[in-house]
Amino acid sequence: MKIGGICTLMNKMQDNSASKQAKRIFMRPTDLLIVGLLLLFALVLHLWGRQQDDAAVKKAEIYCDNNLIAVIALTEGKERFLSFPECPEIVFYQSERGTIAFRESSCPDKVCIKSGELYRVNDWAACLPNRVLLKIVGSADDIDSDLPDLIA
Amino acid sequence: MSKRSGDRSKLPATGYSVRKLVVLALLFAMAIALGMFENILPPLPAPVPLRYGLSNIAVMYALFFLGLPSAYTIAILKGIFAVMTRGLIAGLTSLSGGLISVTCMYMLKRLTGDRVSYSILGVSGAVSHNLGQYLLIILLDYLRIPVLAFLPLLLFTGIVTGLLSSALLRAALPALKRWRYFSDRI
Repeated sequence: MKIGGICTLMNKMQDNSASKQAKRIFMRPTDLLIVGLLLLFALVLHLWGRQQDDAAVKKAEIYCDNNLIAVIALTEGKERFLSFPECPEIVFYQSERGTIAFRESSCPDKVCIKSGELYRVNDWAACLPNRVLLKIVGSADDIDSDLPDLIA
Repeated sequence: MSKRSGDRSKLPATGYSVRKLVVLALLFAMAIALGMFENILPPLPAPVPLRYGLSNIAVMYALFFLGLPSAYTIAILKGIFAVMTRGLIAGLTSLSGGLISVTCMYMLKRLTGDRVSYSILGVSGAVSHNLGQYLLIILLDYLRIPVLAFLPLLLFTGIVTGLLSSALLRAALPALKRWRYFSDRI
């Protein structure tokens, strides 16, 4: 009802000119249906990605220039800072709660750092200026967690 | 007098009168100002830099009232400005998003016989802008962002920002109608 009221209000803002442009309205009831379907589609895709969250082992994959440079097991109880020679401008932080995050970056906007800590399967964050992608994947098997370049 | 009008008729038919050129320049300035205004707004909660797309208001306005070439002109100028200020990749993504967005809105406008509403045009423009940017990143093999993880985000932000920009455009139209150039058209 409220949304319908907003649509009516926006539609009333149009003038009474006889031209074709003025006949264009802000939103029709069918438009609400289209927008709702699009939102539902986005939600279904999002939830579908979240289905794999019950994986036995969670790993963080780090890509630099589209090359996989590290796979890190997100085991709890480990806290460390990670840096790699392929992307020296970036420092990652693995927390003892089994999360991982961008901690330092040379990019201007720091969106990668603001993405926060990742811990769910299919969570991801990217630093576009440095071409670095960090994503969490699930696996039923255990993996080796040999970590290069432990800097702190 | 007749000689002057005869000379005028020999001018190349570029489709751009001085008045139209001035209005285009004003719209481009508006797009830049809105883009700068976006920078002081809180960033959208996303793992990659996503913008509100307020400058799309100028593009939509150009598409509605000046025509397709003018809308493409604004989109291309926006891309060039982004190259100069934010770097090549940001500029190219802006350009690809802008061109695909204008094309999508124009096709929708034509297919519906110009009866499509502002909100649907705004949403389709914003979503196609996002998809155009993502497509360029894939084509350049710049960064392989997982599509299934990225698509819901692109759709959701596109819907929200598209509704926002179309509502702002609709709200600004009465003020913009005072412009003499548009008074004959709106």
